[in-house]
Order: sequence, then C-alpha cells, then structure tokens
Amino acid sequence: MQKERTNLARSWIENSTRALKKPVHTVEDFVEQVNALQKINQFYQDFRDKVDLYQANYTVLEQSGLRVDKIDKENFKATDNEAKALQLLIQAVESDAPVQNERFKKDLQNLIPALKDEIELLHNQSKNPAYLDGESDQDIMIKQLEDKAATFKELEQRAEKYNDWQIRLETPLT
Amino acid sequence: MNRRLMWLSLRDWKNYTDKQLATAFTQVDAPTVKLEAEKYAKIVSRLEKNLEDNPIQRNLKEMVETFRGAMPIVTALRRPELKQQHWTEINDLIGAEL
Repeated sequence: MQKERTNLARSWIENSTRALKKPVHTVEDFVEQVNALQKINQFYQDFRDKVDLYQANYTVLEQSGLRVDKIDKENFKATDNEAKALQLLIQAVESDAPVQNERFKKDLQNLIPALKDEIELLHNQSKNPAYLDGESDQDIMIKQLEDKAATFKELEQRAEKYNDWQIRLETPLT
Repeated sequence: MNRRLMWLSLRDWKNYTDKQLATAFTQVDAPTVKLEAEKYAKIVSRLEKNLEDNPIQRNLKEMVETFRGAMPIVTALRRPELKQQHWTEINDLIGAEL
C-alpha cells in the first residue's frame, strides 16, 4: 500500500516536473507553462504532505523492527528528492515568469495584427464576383467556398485562442 | 458564408427535386416534401436579405417557387380519400394517366 502510494506521488511529481521543464519558445508554450504552474501550485503542498507522511510511516516501520525492502526505501528517497527538486523548479519558473510574460506579450501583440490581415484577406477573397456569376461552375464554386469556410473556422479558433492568451498574459482584449 | 449557402442550396435543391421527380407518384411523401420546400423558401428569403441580386439566387428562387406552387396539387392528389372513380375522372380531365 505504502509502495503504491509512493509511486502515485512520484508519478505526479515527475509529470509536473516534465510539464515545467518543457522548453518555452512561443506564446503557446508559455501559456501552457503558466497553466501547468497554476495547477501544480494548487496540488504541490498536498503531495509534499503525503511524501512527508510516507517518510514518517517508513520511520515507524523501521523503529518497530519491521523490514522494509531496499528497493522501496530507494524509491521513496528518490521521490523525496524529486519533490524537493520540483519545489526549486517551481521557484525558478515563478521568478522567471514576469520577464517571460513581458517578452511573450510583445510576441502576442505581433500575432494579432497578422491574424487581422488574414481575416481581411479572406473577407476580400470571398467577394470575388465569380461567386455571384451564373456562368461559374457550381462544383468549383462549392469547393472554393468550402475551403474558405474551413479557413474561416480555423481563423475563428485562432482568434479565440489569442483571446485566451490575452487573458492569461493580462493584456487588453482586442 | 451566404455565398456558400447559396451554391450548396442550389446543388442540394436540384438533387432533391430530381430524386422526387424520379419517385413514383404513389410513393411521394407530400408532407415531408412540403416541409423541405418551406425550408428552402426560408433560405431563399435569407439570401435575398443578405446578398446582392444575382442569377444563382434567382435561379434557386424560381425553382423553389415552381415546386412550391405545385405542392397543393401534389398534396390533394395524395389524399387517401381519392378512389378509383376520382382517378378515372382526373385522368380523363388531363388526358394522361397519373
């Protein structure tokens, strides 16, 4: 039981460490890291407390003269070390966050006009007189307009994503 | 989006009416056909409000209206109360066999 619980805690710690160590190159990466950090901060103390409790349990077992497998002891030690390392990583990410936030705010500010340009272009393309011409080929018109609808949907989703990022980076919504 | 709706409606309406015309008269489900025609009439109305006048839209409108114009006759001829004697009279009247 103790071993399984330790493994569960270790698994959470390792996943959290992986999430925070993921390279951050784009606004999307940064927002992902910020979201991960928020979630990890929410649960870290619970897992830290659990690891401390397991340590206490192992101590009681040893003091009572009950044998604990070496592999379990080592597993616990590793979990404890990883939990400590995660705490340091959280601190590092947190202290880095304001600078990163400013950097990615600027990136986002460049992405929004580019998106607006794409929307404008699509809007202009959809005004092609061929779409209202009775001589146009029906299948070709449908194919082109279906493609435009798909592009429009993609742009719409991107606009929603950018709005989410603006909220996360605390920039004014556009 | 309205341009896409217009072309798709034109294609789908053509397909739908072709299918109906190929169906034996006794198999035509008049209430369902009527509902479908109403749906396309609403689309035509929406297109008229949102798009400038154009031949594709006019074509669709004409096809839907022609079909809708025939719907009261189709509905009447599909009434279960019609007996053989009525059919004989109808066939004599139009000079063809329905």
